[in-house]
Amino acid sequence: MSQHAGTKPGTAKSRTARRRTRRMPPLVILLPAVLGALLFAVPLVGLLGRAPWRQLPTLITSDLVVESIRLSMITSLAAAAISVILGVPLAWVLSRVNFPAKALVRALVTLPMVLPPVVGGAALLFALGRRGIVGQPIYEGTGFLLPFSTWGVIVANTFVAMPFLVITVEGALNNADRRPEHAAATLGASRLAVFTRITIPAISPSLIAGLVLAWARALGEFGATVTFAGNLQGRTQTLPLAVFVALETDRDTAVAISLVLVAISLSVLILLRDRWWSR
Amino acid sequence: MAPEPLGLDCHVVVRRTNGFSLDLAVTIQPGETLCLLGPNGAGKSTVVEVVAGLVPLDEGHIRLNDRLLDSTDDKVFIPPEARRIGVVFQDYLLFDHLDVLANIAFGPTSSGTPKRVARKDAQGWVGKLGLEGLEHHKPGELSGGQAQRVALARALAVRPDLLLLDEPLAALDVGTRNRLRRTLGQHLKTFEGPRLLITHDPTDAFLLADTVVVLEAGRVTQRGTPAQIRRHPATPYVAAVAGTNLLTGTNNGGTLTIDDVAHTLATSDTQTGGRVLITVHPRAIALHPSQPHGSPRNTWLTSVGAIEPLGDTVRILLADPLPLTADITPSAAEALGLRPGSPIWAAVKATEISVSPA
Repeated sequence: MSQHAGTKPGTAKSRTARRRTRRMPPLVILLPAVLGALLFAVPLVGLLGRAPWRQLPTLITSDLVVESIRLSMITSLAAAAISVILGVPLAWVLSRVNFPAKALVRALVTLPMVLPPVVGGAALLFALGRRGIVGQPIYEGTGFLLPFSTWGVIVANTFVAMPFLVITVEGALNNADRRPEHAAATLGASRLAVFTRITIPAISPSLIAGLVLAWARALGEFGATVTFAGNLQGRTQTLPLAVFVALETDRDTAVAISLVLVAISLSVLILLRDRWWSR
Repeated sequence: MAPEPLGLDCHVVVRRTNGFSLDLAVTIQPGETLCLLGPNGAGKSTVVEVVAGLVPLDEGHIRLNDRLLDSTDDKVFIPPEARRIGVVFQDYLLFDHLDVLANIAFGPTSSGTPKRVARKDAQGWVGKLGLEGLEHHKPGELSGGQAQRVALARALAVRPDLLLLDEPLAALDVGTRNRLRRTLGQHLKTFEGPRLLITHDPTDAFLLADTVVVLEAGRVTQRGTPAQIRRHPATPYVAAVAGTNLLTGTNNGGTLTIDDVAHTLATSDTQTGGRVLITVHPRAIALHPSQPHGSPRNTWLTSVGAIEPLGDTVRILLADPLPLTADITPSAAEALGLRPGSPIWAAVKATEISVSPA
C-alpha cells in the first residue's frame, strides 16, 4: 500500500481517490464497450434459451453425438500433440537459427491463420489427394489415402492449429533471457540438453498457452476438415461438422452438440483460470 | 618437446562494429588469482564471453593447460560446453526451476554422470560451502550470499580447469559484500587451478587478487601486485580507485588497532566492532610542517616515502608507521618543500575514517 505513515483512512486524499474511481466513463467509450460485450453474451443466451433441456441427456448420448465427440477429441488432441512435436522445434529454428529466406518460412507458417480454411483444405487436397504431388506416390506405393480418413482430419486440424503454437512459442523464445542458457553451456550441457533442461522449462507457460490455443483451434475446425476429409459419420464427422448437418435436419440435436462444445470450452477456460486470469 | 606450461595463457582481441576494440594478454598460474579491474565499458564482460566461449575471438588465442580452446591462427574453436571453465556469473544465473541440489548437480549430469552419483557429489559441495538445510530450496528463496555460494558450488562441481568469476560480489548490498568477500577468498583458495576474477570494485581486487590487471577502454593500462598498483598508480583511473587507503584492524569502541603496525587511529564509528576494514580517502589526509593543534583527533609524525604527480594533484606516499597515501595540490607540496625523506606531520579527522565489518 502506498499510504503514507500518519494518513488515516477517510482523509481528504483517500476520499478524492475513491470518488474519482466512481466517476462515469465517457459515454462514447462506454456505449461501444457494452455493445461489444453484448455481442458475446447474446448468442450464448440464445443458445441456452433454445436448449431442449429435458431431452438433452437422450440427445447427447445418441450414436451420432457420442461418435462425433469421440472423433473430435481424438483428432483435436492428436493435432495438438503433433503441433507440439513439430511446432516447438520449428519455433526454435525460427528464433535461434539464422538462415536465408527465414522471413519467407515465417510467412508460410503464419499463412494458415489468415487463409480461409476452405482454401487450406483445397490446397491440402491438391497436395495430398489421390492425384496430388505428394499423395499420388504415397497412394501408389502403399495404397494409403489421406483424404476422407480420420488421419485426414488430423492433418487438416494440424494445418490450421499449429501456427498458433509456433508463433506463441517463438515469441516466448525471442523474449527469453539467454543468459541461463549460456550458464548451462559453460556447465557442459550440449545444445540439445540446454534446450530440454533450461529453455523448455523457462518457456513452459507460453508452451502451455500455445498448446491450448492450438487445441481449441483444432476442436473448432470446420472449413479445412470438410474440404479435405469430407463429412463421414464416425470417420471424419467432428462436432462442428455434426452441428452443421444437424442444423438442416434436427435443430434440437444441433443445439445439444453446441452446448457440448460450449461446456468443453468453458471447462478449459476454468482449468486455465489460475494461469491466465489471475495475472 | 617441452611440456606445455600449466594454467591459462590467452591473448584476446575482439573488435566491435561501433569502433570499440579489446586487446588483452594475460597468463594465470595454477593457484593464482588474477583480478581484471576496470570501469564500466572497459570490456570486462567481453573478456568473460570470449574466455567462456560464448563469443569467438577476432584474433589471438586462449590456451588452458595443454588444451587450445580458441585460436584464429590454428582455426580452433572449442564450444563453451567442452571448455571445462567454471563460471560464476554476475547475478549468478541460477536455474529458477531447479532446487539448490539440482542446480549444483546440473553440470555433472550434463556430462553423463548418473543422476544419483551427481546428487551425492552435490551434497558434498553443499557441505563444503555451508549450504546445509537449503538443498531443496529454489533459487528464489535464497539470500544473495547463499545464491553466490550455490553459484560457486555449481561451477566447482564440474571440476573445471579454470574458475572465472564475473563480478561475484556486485549483486550484494554493501554490508553483506564486505562480509562475504572474506568467505569468497577462503573458498577461492580451495580451488587449485587458475582463477580469473572480473570486477569494477578495487576492494575486491586488492583483497582477493595475487595479480591485478587494469583494463581501461579495452587496453591494459597497468599490471602488478595489489601493493604495486596501489603504491604506483599509472593512470588517473587507477589513482582514483586505487588511491583509497585500505587497512585492516580491530575496532574497540572507536579505537582502531591497525594490523602489523604499532599504531592506533580514532574513528567516529564506535558501533562497528571487532575485525574491520578501514578506509581513508587520500584527500582526507592533511599534511603539516609541525604538529597541528586543531580538531583532527589523529595526528602523527611520519616522513615522505615518495612523491608522484597525478595531473592536478600530487600523491604523497607516507612512510612508517602507517603506509598511507595523501593527495595534495602541487602548490601545497611546493610550499611544504617536500622531498623524499622529509619529516612531516599527518592529520585525519576521526569522521574521515570509515570502518566496515571485515
